[in-house]
Parts: sequence; C-alpha cells; structure tokens
Amino acid sequence: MRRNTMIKIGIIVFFVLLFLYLLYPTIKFNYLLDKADKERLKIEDPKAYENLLDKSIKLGLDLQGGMHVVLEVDVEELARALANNKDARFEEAWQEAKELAGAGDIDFITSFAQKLEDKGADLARYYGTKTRRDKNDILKYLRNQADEAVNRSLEIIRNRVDEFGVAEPTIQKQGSHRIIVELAGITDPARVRQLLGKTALLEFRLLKDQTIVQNLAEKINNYIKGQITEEEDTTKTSQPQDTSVVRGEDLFGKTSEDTGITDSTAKDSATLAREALFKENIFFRHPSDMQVLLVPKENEARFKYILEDPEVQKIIQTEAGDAEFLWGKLDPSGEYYTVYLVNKEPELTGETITDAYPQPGSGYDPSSFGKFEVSLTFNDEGARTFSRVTGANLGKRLAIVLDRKVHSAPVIQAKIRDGRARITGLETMEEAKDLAVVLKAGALPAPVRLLEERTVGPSLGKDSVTKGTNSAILGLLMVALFMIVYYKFSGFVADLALVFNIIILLGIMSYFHATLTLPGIAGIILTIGMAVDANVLIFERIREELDKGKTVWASIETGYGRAFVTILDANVTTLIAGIVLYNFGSGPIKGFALTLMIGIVASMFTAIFVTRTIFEFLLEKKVLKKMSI
Amino acid sequence: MRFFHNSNVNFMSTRKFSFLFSGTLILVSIISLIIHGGPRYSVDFRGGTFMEIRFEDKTDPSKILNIEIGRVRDVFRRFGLGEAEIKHYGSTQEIAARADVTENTDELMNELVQALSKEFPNCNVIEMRKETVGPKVGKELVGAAILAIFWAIIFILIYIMWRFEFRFGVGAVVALIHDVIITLGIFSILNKEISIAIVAALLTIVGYSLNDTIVVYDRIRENLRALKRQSFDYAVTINRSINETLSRTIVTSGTTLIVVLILFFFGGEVIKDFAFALLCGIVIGTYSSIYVASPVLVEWEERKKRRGGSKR
Repeated sequence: MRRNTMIKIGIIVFFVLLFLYLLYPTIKFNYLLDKADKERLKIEDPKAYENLLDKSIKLGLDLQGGMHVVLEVDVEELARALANNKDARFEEAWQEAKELAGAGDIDFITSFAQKLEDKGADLARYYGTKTRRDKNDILKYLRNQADEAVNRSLEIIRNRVDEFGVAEPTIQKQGSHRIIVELAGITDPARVRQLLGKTALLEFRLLKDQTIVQNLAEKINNYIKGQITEEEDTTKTSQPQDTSVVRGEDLFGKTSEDTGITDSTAKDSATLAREALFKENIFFRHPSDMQVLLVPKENEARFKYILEDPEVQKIIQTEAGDAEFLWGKLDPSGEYYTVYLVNKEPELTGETITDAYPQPGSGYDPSSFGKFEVSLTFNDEGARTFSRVTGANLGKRLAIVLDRKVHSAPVIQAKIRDGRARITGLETMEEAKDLAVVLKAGALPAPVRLLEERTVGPSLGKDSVTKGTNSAILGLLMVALFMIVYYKFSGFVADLALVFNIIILLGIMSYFHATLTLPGIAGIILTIGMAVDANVLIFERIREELDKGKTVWASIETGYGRAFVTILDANVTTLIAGIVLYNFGSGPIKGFALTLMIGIVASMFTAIFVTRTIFEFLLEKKVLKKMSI
Repeated sequence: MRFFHNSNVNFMSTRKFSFLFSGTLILVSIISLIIHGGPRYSVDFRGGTFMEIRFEDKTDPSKILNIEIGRVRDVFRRFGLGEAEIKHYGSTQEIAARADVTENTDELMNELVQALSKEFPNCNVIEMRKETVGPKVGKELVGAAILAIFWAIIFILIYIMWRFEFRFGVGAVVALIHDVIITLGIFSILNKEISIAIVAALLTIVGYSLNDTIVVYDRIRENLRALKRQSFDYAVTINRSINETLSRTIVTSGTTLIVVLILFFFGGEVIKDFAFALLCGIVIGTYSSIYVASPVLVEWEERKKRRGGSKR
C-alpha cells in the first residue's frame, strides 16, 4: 500500500511540474516580458519569439481587440462575370434569380437556370463552348467555378492578409462558399476592412476625354434643371476643392500639376457651365481635373438615382457611346466623391497581372525622389494586350477599377512592350502597398460580399481581460473559502485540487496555443464553481459512511468508490452539452465550450485521484488520524 | 458545518403543488413569448448592427459623464437612424445602439463617431464594439441554435436511457425543457435579448440541470437496487434519495451560484446577460431536479400502477 501511495504521489508531482512547465511560456510572455523585451526578442531571436508565442495561450479577438469577418463568394456576380453575349433576357433572369436567392435559401444557380429557361433563353448562349453545350454540363461548370472561386479567394485573402502584417490571422473556409477572417489586435481596422471587402474584379478602363465629359455633364445638368424647375435649390455654394488638395496618383510620372495647368487655361470657357452645376449642387466639375466630376457626399444617393434614370442613360449613350459613370474614392477632404466617365468595356482585366509590389521611387528619376511606386508584371497575354492598349492610347488615362470602383486613373506615358510597368508618383509607402494589393487582387476570380462583421476595440478588450481575471480570482477565493469553512481540512485538500485543476486547464490551453475568449474566462469561472462538485459528492458520501460508524479508511474507500459513478454520469452529460456547443458556436463560444470541457475532464483527475492520494498519504504518515470533514 | 443533515422533507407529497407551480411558470413564459412574438433576438439572429460607443471626458478620462440619450438620438436621426434602439450600456457614459442597417456600416460608424464628437465637443468618442450580421446569416443562426439545443437534448436522452431507464431519460428531459423554457420566459418578460451567448448559456444550463438531476437519479438507482428484493414504496424511496443528496445539491448549487453571481456583478457588461441566463438556469435547474425530474418518475410509476389496477 505504502509503495503504491508513493508512486501516486510521484505521478501527481510529475503532472504538477509538467503542467506548470507547459504554462510557463504563457506566464513569461504575458507577465515576465514587457513590450520592449518582446520587440527586442522579436528582432534578435525571432525563432525563440515564435516558439514562445506558439506555446502560450492566445487571446481571443474579444480580449485583445480585432475583427471577425465572414465573407461569401458572390455567386450571382460570378455567374454574370462568366457570361458572354449578355442580353436583356439574361439581365432579367439574373435579377429575378438574385432576388429569389437573397430572400430564401434557394440556390442561385438552379433558380437562375430555371428563370432563363422560363424566358426561353438557352444557357449555352451565355456559357456554351464547343465542348460544353449541354445544360447539365454548364450547370456543373458554373458550380465548379463557384467552388474554385472560394478556394482561390481563400488563397488570395491569405496572401493579402499577410501583407498587412497582422499577427496570427485566422482565415478559414466555412461551408462551401464562405470564408471566415479573423484579425486580432489590428490597429487600423478601417484599412484592412476596406481591402477585405474590396475583392474580385479588377479592370483597366479608358477614361473618356474631357470634352466628352464636359459635354455630357452639361447635358445631364440641363436635364436635371428641366426636371426640377419649381424647387430650384440655390442655398449653399460650396466651394470646389483647392487644386492643392488633389493628390497626383498618375501613372508613369504624370503629376497633378500638369492637369492643374490645363484646368486654368480652360477655365473661362467652362465657367458658365460650371456655375450652372453649382446651382444644382448635385455634382460639379473637379476644379483641377477636367475628366473627373465631384459629387458632395450628401448627394451620393441622389446622383446615383439620376444616373439610373432611363433618360439620363440615353443621354450618356448618345454623348459618350458605350460608357458609364463609375465612382471613385472620397477626395482627401472627405467631402466629395470623385466620379469618372469610363468605357464600359475594360481594356484588360486583373487576372493577367502576375505580380505587383510597392517600392520607393527609383533614384535616377529626380521627380520620383521621396515618392513611391508600384511595379507590376503581366503574363504573356496581358503584356501583349497592354502593349497594344498603351501604344494606341498614349497620353490618355487608364482607370484602375476594382469592383466597379475607380481606385485611380493614371496617365499612360509610354508604350509598355515587355509587360513590366510602373505606377509612379505615390505619396506614401502605405498608398503604394494598398495599390499593389489591389492590383494583385485582380486575379481574384469573383466578387466577395460581407455577411458578418464584428469588431472589438482594444480598450473594450483590455477592460474585459481585467474584469474577467478579477472575477475569476474572486470566484476562486470565495469558493475556496467556502470549502474550508464547510469541510475544514478536507475542504482545503479540495482547494488544492481546484488550483491544480486550473493549472492543468491553462497548461493544456497553453500547450495547444488555444484561444482564450471572454466567454472562455466565464467557462473557467464556471469550472471553478462546478469542479468542486466532484469533491462535494465524495465528501458528502464519506460523511454518510462515517455516520454509519465506519472507519476512516473504509469510509474513504466507499465514499470515493460510490461517488465515482455519479461523478462520471453527471460529467458525461455536461461534456455532451459542451461538445454540441463547441460545434455550434463560433470564436468566443467555442472558447467557452473548450474551457468548460477541459475543466470537467481535469476535475475528474484532480478531484478524485489527487485528493484521494493526499488523504491516503496523510493517513499513512499518521499526520491525519481522523477525517476533518 | 453541515446543512440539511439527516433532512427528511417530504418532497413527493407536495408533488401536485410543484407541478402546478412549474406549469404556471411555463404557461406564463409561453404567454409572454407569444405576446412578444417569440424571443427578442439580438442582431446575431435577426441581422442588423449593434454598436457600443463610449464617451470620455477629454481632460479627465475618469470623470463620470451623463450622456443624454436624446442628444445621441438626434445625431443618429441625421443618418436616418431615428428608429434605432439606443440605450445606456453599463454606465451612463456608454451607449449601445441597435439599428437595422447592414450595408457600409464601417463608414456609417466612422461618420457617427465623428458626428457624436462634434455634438459632444468635450468628449473623446471611442468605438468599443461593432457587430454587423447580415439577415441571411441571422436566419441561418436561428436554425443552427435550435438544432444545437435539439441535438444536445437527444444525445443526453440517449445517454441517460443507456445508463438508467427510459423513464429516467424522460424525467430528465422534461426537467431540462422546463428549465430552458422558463429561462427563455424570464428573458422575454424582462425584455432581454437572446444572442448567441445566451444560446450558449442555455446549452450550459442543459448540461448543468442534468448534472444535478443525474446525481439525484444516481442515488435513486442505487437505493432501488438495494431495495429490489424488499417490498418498497417507490415514492418513499425517491423521497429518501432526494433527501440524502440534498446537502450536496445545495452545496454545489451554492458554489456555482457564488461564481456566477461574481461574474454577473464584476464580469463587465459584455458578459452580464450571459451570467444572468446562467443564474436563472442554476436556480431553476436546482429546483427542477428536486421538484420536477424526480416527481415525474413517481407520477410515471403511479400511473402505471393505476392502469395495471384498472385492468385487473
């Protein structure tokens, strides 16, 4: 018996040391190292740093701040992008199927095919090739494309997220068409968010010449005036932007100053038209860039509405041919949207870009000194097209359009023959980086839309850590105190087991680099309350046995033996609930289920094996002569 | 120290009363749920945007501010969000808003924070949290949540039927459905929202309620075996089992209650409703394992006897 007890003691000591060892990296990382130490370690010995990080508990998004985003590949847009020879029937069927898919859980592709059939259109007309004419083949092709789109998006999002330098991003596929992205501890969510939401279709489209733009603007304005004669709005005359605020983002070295000069020479001739536009206040010309219109933020919806008007559409058709207005970014003041008139047909799409990377302006070109640029490479096909396009359109502007939004519209300065181009004159490295990411994103096969988005600010996270930790410590103290008051020395033994339980719980989480969330902390707290349950069951049983007049040894024997079955049954049910919970929940909830489950399993070991061994040891050593319970 | 030492309360004799009591609670819960048109879903389930915004005095961040909801609402109204639900959150210097928008919420949030900064020029306006859930996802999550609770119950029923008898499984499931419905009812009556976290709490309650029930059942099973060859009164045996485990039931519920109360009061606003749901669940779960789960066994036995008797 005695040797047996010594072995058990040995096992316990071993496990205590083991889990303390496992827990050590977490303690070291979070408490022993300050920020400067970590930064130094990161630089001096990145491997050790990685190792340390990898072996410590990870804080969830809700504790360190960050964002959780669920994206879905837009199958509707994909189907549209893949189609050739689109006509009215296609558009109708597409619209109807889209509405159906948005409302219920009807699969878009199925209902779209049905709608097309109803309208007497043939799928093969839009998606058919020589080898692919059968309806089923085409449906299969579309489904395959959707599946592939998800996988490719995953890769590209991963690649893109890496470029933001976020520590430990989570990017995973959920279901068949969804992607979960979790970025912890990011300092600038807006920038990441913008880039995550913006995916898919990258196009290069030619900007319409300024005479066309000006003519069209005037025509549209006249039309608007005709429409709203009685309630003409002449209240405020917001000044157009000063030329200095307009950033030059022009391609191949052309700077904004050049366009600024053109503006001042053409000013007088256009004064009248511009003033008319001002009166309307819906949109007006960019003061320094004749090819761009400005729309005050508050008029965004209004202008969009006007553009959809069939009359206006007709005007655009007659004045500019196959062109459309696309929205650009907010101007630097943040008050006006830029709007560009571009060709409907892209000259070239983004999937022909094989690489794009930001770099500081090259040294031998004095104008690019202190500026930044993006270098990009095309594949063979892209290089050919690009060479033709740049050759034929020298001096024109080529808009970089991502998801129908104009990123920038640089000027073509030279014919690019070898498929290697540079976009120069960018003000900051940040800007260059973002542009490079956008250009690379062009290879993304389908648009992605945001389904779900959760952001937690860092201050709330910090708050939660403090409150959670305090609650856990307070809970532990209260429960421990209660156990000692209620069960005296035995209660103290149970408390030892409880502390050990928490060491095991945190040690395991540390080793597996598991994520601790706020509900996870709640799970630990709940574990503190529930883990003593096993000991309560045992002690109550021992008390009963002692009441019956049994000896201490016999009481312990029966108490532990009888209680074990109960503990097992009771814990298995909680474990079942935990497993279901783990599979149901996302992020924070998973964290809760995880701590709860580990806590329960650990309590089986600590509350039964550990406490029993302690009792046996003390009784054998005659330290304990009778149960203090 | 020892509570309920050698207690001998006759729980079974008050069986009818406790059934009536539970029945009333369930009825009230269901009526409340019907009146409110189902549980009040958070943005997790019904889609929309939840925003938590904190105001801090620019010169003295620790100064306690009293932010008027009306002024905040005026700012929201400018963005067409006059219908948004806006309330204080945790303290009077923090607000939570819920609006039915899911598009471009980043820009919206930025603009709102800017506009609020203008409205409250002496304050730093801090974006604490923003959660946007598309309506499609919300709908799916409702289904997933119901399914999760359903599967948890089914698996547990199977386990109990395997370890005990069929009627024990039924008793346990009746008790835990009882607990879940009443907890939902309390949330409905207090007009609290059901979020994903609350569903997690409900699942925990399912586990906890069973834990309690099973401890009692275990003792019943043990006592039934010991008495197998003797003639015995089913109700008396069950009553004795409950009394024997009573002190454990109270102690464990007590320790769990202590920690959940601490969580409720000190865990912060984010976790408060979650802790509240657990609180309800523990109290109701403890009650139901004594007053619902076990009496169901007695009722079952007596009906069986009566039916057997009338046949004869």
